[in-house]
Amino acid sequence: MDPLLVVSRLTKAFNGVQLLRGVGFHVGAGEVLGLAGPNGTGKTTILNIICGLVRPDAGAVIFDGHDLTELPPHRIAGLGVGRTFQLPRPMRDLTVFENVVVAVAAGRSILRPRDRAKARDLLARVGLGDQEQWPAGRLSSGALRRLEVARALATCPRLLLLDEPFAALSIKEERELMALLKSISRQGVAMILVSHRRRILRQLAHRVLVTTAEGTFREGTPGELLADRGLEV
Amino acid sequence: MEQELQLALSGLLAGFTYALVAVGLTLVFGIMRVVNLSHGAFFALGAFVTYGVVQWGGGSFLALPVVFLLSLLLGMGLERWVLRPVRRHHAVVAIVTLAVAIFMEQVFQLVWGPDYHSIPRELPLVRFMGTAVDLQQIVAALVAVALLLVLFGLLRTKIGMAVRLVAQDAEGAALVGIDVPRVQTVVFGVACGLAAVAGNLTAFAHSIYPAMGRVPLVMSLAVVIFGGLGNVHAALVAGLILGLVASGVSFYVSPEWSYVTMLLVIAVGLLTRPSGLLGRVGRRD
Amino acid sequence: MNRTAVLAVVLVVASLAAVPWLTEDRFLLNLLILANIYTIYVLGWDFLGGLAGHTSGGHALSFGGAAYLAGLLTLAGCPAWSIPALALLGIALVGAGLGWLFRRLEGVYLLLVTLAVAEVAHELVLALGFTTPEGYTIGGEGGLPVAPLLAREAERFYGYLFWTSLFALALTLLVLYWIRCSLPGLKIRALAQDVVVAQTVGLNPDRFRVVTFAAGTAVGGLAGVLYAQYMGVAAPSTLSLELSFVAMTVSIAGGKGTIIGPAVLSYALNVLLGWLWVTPVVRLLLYSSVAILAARWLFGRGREA
Repeated sequence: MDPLLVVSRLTKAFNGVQLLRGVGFHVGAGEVLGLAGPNGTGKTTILNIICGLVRPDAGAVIFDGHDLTELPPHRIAGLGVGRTFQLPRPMRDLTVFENVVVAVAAGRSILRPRDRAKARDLLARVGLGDQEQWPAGRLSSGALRRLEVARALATCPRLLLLDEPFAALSIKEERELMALLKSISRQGVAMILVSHRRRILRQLAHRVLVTTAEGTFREGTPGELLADRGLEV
Repeated sequence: MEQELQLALSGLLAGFTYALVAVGLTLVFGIMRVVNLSHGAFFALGAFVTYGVVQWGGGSFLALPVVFLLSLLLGMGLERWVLRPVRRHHAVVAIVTLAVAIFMEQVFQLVWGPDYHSIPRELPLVRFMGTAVDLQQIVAALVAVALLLVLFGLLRTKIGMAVRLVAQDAEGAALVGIDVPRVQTVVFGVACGLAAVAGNLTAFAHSIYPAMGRVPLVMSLAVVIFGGLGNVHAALVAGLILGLVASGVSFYVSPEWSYVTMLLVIAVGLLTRPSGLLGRVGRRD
Repeated sequence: MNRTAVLAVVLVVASLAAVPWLTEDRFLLNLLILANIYTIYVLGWDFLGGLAGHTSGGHALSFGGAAYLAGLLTLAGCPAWSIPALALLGIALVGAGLGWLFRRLEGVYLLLVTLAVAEVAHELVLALGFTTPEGYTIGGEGGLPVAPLLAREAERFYGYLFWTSLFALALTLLVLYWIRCSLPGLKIRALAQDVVVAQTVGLNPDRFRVVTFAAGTAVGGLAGVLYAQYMGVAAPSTLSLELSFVAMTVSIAGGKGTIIGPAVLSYALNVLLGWLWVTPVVRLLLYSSVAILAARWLFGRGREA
């Protein structure tokens, strides 16, 4: 079966710094690709390129037959790519519920009861069911990260781009999110998970890609790469 | 050929006063990332105070230091009490400075009435080698040049370095012990003072009325955008160029159209290069 | 959806509608007609700048632009009954065009560029004028005449304009409020909050930009068309910077983007200041000081609005 996402020869420079040199990888349905590496080596940039917020200098991103480098971000989202941000970006003046339901109903003109139910369900799954009517700006940082995940899931993505979703979570929250992501993965959603934490990567990722300061990368199973203590993750 | 020379001269001279206004606006933007829409109202203040002094019996040149000091203090007060609390929100600052401009315009109208005023010229027009030469305009331009030289000179001193440091990196400047808020307040006051001086220098040349600050404001916005937001040297050059353009359009077409041209320059400039034609955002003096 | 607010609005409008039957006082009717018109105008900014977050510094363009379009259509000899609708359509298209043209600009830049466009229009109408062989001036300071649907001398002129403007206000208020509380309104608010995140959940920012600009301009234009009908002329003051400023200030002070708040504030201010015969100069002094104080209160150091 063809992989869902094929990234090839991705190249990007910022302000004269060559961040990515021909990065390439693929992700299949139900697979979790871990993305690790020192700070500033382009992990978030890779996610930004895939979801359309940044244009690469060269390279292609083929998702389900479409070249994403040619499409605007909202079209890419419509094709089934969802994303969370490293620093949570809630829409502060909207309620928690509104943050999610606007994503659920992004393609429609009228809100259906089914949309409301889905939003409610998603919030319950990330443990925010009680804070539905709160303005999003009131949430704690852990809760904000869970809101990011709920919002990303709201568009029924087939590819989920997660930028350090486990940062600032308590042990309990971490366990719950892990279980949620595993169940989503079992349902066939492909994931790219940026994380610094070896334990998380070992438990969730099928394969790991590690970026380097030179703009290159190494790929392998979590077992192979993470056992190498010399590898900066 | 004579006419073109005269136009060019006139345009260049006008350009120096535009530069004076524009440099102030650019400085403020460079230091505080703030577009001061009341800048034109200070120009008008300069003209009105000059009118007041002339009515009282003094000369317009006598009015110059009065005008500068008054606007310096007013500008500093404005920055300290009105702008500083809201400075982080750029759009709000723009609206607030617009409010200040409108407030000032209404005050002018209340104090001096809505009609047009004028003051007599103090230096005559002379004939020199067949062309008409406006002595007062030359003196005005010389004063403007002198002030600009003093300003650029100051920017090279220790004080000037502090100012430039704040423009480049306010946080860094604070870390090395520079009193950033104080620098910003003073620079803002000086910019307002310069605008008012420009109003004083040109007060003899046109009518004085409450909304007279609109045109200089738009001109200086055009200069700032054309020259690159925050780039003081470019503002100077752009001021001269636009002075020539405005003079040309004003003569060959009509004065209203020169204003329209300036506005279009702003609109086009913002659309194509928000960082200006010469500079890049982040490059400052 | 705040049902009490909607009910209150409906009740107030219904009671206002009775006014022309209760009195023939021209002063009062004039006051209320202008209050209706200016409130519609402010609602246009509240939708575009308040709800959608596109701070326009040139909202007067929608008001005066529509009035001048009506004037131009009058000059061109269009039948009087078609002029309001055509002028409205025309200004809405202009608004959509500007929304498209300025789609990459935000914040201060958008404010400046819209301000510049409105000022260009203002200067143009002041500069462009000519005198007919009979000695009439068309354009310039005097503005353009606008063909009325009902002659000013007609007995029911004031009543007719009052009801038309009141109906227009009620309709605008209810439609805009309904949009605000609906899914499209939520999307507009989401885009205003964080355009990047909104895109990643599938919202198209350019399309919404064009639509909100068209709508905000159309609402301002509705006020402009009514004003032109009422005054019989499209004057340069309809494109003034002061007018743009008032729209911003009243909307923000009344609760940016809430629709009902700015409407109530605008109506109250217009009625009160008109009743007290407050001159334009004092009004502007008031508005500008309120703007300065409100900015300090809403955005002052340490507080996030």
